[in-house]
Amino acid sequence: MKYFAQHIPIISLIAVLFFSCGNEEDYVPDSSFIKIYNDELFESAYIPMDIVQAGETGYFILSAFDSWNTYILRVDENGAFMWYYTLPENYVNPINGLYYLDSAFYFFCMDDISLGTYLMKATDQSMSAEVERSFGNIIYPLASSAIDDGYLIESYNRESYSTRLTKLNLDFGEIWNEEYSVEQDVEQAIISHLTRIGNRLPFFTGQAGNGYFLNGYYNYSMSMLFVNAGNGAQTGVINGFRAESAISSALYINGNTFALSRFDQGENFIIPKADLNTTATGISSDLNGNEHPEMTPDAFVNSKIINVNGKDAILFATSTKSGQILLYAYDALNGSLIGTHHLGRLNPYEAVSFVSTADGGLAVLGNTFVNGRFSRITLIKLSKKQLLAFAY
Amino acid sequence: MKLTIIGLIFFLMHLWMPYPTIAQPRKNNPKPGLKTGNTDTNQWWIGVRGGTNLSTAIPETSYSVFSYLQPATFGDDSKTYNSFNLPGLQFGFSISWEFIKGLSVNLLPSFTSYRFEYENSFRWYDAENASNQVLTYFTVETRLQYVELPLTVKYELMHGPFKPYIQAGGYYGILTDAIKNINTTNIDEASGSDSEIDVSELSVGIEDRTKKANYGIMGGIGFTQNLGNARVGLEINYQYGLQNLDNGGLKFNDSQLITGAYDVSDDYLLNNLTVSMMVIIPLKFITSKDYVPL
Repeated sequence: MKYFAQHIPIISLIAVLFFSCGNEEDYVPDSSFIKIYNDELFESAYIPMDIVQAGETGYFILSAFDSWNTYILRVDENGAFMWYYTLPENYVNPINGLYYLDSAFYFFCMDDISLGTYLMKATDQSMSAEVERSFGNIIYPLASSAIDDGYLIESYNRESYSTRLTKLNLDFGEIWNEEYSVEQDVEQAIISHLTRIGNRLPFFTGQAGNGYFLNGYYNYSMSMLFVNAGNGAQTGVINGFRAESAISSALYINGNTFALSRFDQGENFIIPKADLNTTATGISSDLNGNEHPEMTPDAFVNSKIINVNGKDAILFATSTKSGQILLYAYDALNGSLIGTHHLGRLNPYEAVSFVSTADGGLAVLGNTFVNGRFSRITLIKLSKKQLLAFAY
Repeated sequence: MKLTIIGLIFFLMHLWMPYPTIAQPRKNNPKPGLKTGNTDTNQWWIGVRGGTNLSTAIPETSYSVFSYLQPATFGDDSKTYNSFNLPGLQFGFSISWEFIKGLSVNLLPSFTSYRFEYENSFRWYDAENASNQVLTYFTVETRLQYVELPLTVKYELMHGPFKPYIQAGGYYGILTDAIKNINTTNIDEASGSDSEIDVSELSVGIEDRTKKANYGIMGGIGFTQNLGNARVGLEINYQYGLQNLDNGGLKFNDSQLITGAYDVSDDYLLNNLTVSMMVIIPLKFITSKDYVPL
């Protein structure tokens, strides 16, 4: 005891030295990073669209450039720039939906004259993108998504005044298409959307069990349609009010359950667990949900299910009035809010998309305005530890 | 490495502990006229010391928020470190055991603040009129405060009243505070200005982004001058850091620094040049007849 008492100062010192060094790690470059892909020109304006992880070799980013031109960016697993390619000016309007297959990247864009759709293929070998397939009958492509046995493309047929859904097989061959009549002229609104001179509209498609859904113009409003997977025949609809009240994102969970967000006259609502009747007619403003005044008016929202440490979480990515990216994490089982996470300080940041990464982290694609004014692509990689801090 | 340093301190502290310094029991006081042990060849000294320091950060690996799509024409985003230009302060105590005449072990606990800075700059311009441009300059000052425990072995080169000496050893510091101050200035010709405009000053705590411990080796020169029973002295030491001070686990944790000021810390070592003045007094038997000034 006496010996112990004599050595209290030493023991205390050693304890302080040991414990003071806890919770420190060396930096692991591919674990977390924040990158802004900058160039020095005033005229350059990048508007990122979508991101896909290329296995363990980094990320591929699809972007619009100077209004509606097409730009692709390849970065490595640490977020470092590898190569970029600006497509010739006749390839415009890249749409959401980016696919990584057999070491190649596929996406859709539009011909600026014919308004037809191209399937483009890009590879690290070519460091460019080339036409893989043309779809002359799909004009004004608006959105695409992968489904179990192929792909869906939503488009607008300016000749028949219809929103159109086309199903492609896994080889991008057309299986069927179906049109849904629009009772007003919306071409100007669509052009404004595509060229970024007007409001961005929430076009999207997806699979819900044995059926499909799409969000687009229908009758007199921006509506969410439910269709038969075999032929595209409409089974149900959630009507909006013109383009002022509509569903802004939809994520199928299971059964008749969806995770939704919607806007109504500028106000935004998140509904992490909504039971929808896909064979009935409904109105988006009748859907409940928590109002989120922090979101930008008629906010763009991207939602996905991600696996966090073995548990499913619904993640909504959106943008705030204060110029930040905001991530909401909800429990996929009961729809309760788990946590939120803000990204971006001082300069404006906007949410675009995100992907769950192979290492259990999250890569968030955003748009930022460097120095407060020049539109650039940003990629924010959160480590698994950072993700766990707000999503379980 | 960390354990090695801790082990070294542990060992040296044990060398020191068997010799009571602060409160010597009366029973240990030698009786006048009796020689006990080697009291005429060893001595304890305590004192206070303080001074200033200059620092330089040595980047090991550089990091940036920006990834350039084309080579930059200006600034290029790499940090330019300014060396030994911002003074810091240190003050503390000196505890020395002179175990052989002219040779001593010194524990120099101190409260120390270090400062260093780096700069980077960026440019955006009109492709058709390159003089139509925005230049942004960031000056980033880092302030680190430590409680430090330097331990040195000192050898006196002369034994008169004036004693020049050399010393070498190591140090271990525990971080108590860390701050970054970022000053941003713009030349915004695109908005009609052709002179620097102070844009913002930002101060952000980085204690969690800085490793709690710093350690390294040190060496220096100095002298003392007898002044009555005390000694006054001046010494110059160079401290060579062996620890990367950036806490890599939080390197890219979003903050005002990273997404606001586009500043992300490099992996770096910190070297310091310190100048200290001191006053020390002998502790042992100062009123005793067998006190022998060394």
